[in-house]
Amino acid sequence: MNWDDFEQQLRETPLRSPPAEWRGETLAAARRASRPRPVFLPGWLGEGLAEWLWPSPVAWAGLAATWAVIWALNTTGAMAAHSPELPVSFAGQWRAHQHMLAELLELAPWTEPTLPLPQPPRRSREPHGSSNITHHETAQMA
Amino acid sequence: MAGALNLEALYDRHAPALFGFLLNLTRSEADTHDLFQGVFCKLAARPALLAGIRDERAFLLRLAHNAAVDLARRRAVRERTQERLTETDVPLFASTADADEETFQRELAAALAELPPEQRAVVHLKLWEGLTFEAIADALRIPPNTAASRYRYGLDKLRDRLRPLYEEIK
Repeated sequence: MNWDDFEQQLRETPLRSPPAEWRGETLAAARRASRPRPVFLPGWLGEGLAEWLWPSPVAWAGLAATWAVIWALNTTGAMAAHSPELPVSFAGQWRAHQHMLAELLELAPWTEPTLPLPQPPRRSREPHGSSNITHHETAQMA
Repeated sequence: MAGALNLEALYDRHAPALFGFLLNLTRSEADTHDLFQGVFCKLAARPALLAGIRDERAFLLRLAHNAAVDLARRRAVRERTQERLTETDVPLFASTADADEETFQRELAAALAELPPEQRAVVHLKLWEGLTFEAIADALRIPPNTAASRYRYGLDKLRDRLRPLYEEIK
């Protein structure tokens, strides 16, 4: 087989042309693409980001959205975990304000609020009449 | 922007070459359509890309090649099997009334499909675009020697594959 003839035969095999209807479709799509889009970032920054995110801007956007959802869930979870109990310092301040307000308004003696405050550890209950003072201590006091 | 670019003239000058190249690379008319449209949309959105370009055709072929390579990478895993099933079915050449010519075209399309994509791209640009190895190297971002060797390997395979049919027709 002659090498040059074979190459020439291949060259002369005509390729298909694009379908006629593609012209209109492609030009219409290109015109839409050429319309200016709303600018959210300065030109140089937007160009830089576009280059950096190429070739999968959708994938990057999806990743960013996923992180945003994770962050939001994490934040709301943390808030929910802390909301039932108030910090001790805040509770103390709130009690002092209530006390001062009651004094200013000359209201009935101020009572403890029913906030869920941290409680000291309870001792085991003892029978009525019993005392923490032992007989030995009583004798010493006498 | 698009008016200054004159999209219609750009399309008429380069559409057939881009279509043939993309169809040979992707072997899918649907993919070719998407990539083909993508190239023109990219140029319409950013006409500055063409500023200072000496060889417009070579530049557009490079854009098309990059787009085809990206698509192939994205699909490498999930659609490999499907692509293999369809890659030889797409008509690559213009239809002809000559039965021998039609047979040769069909076999040539199949033989091209068997080439590795990087050899197929070089063979296509050399044979049907008439580019020099330097121009091919520039379009595909490879060294000229690599372009030349890929062409030789590719053409050898085509010749071996098509020899019986070619000699019979001749």
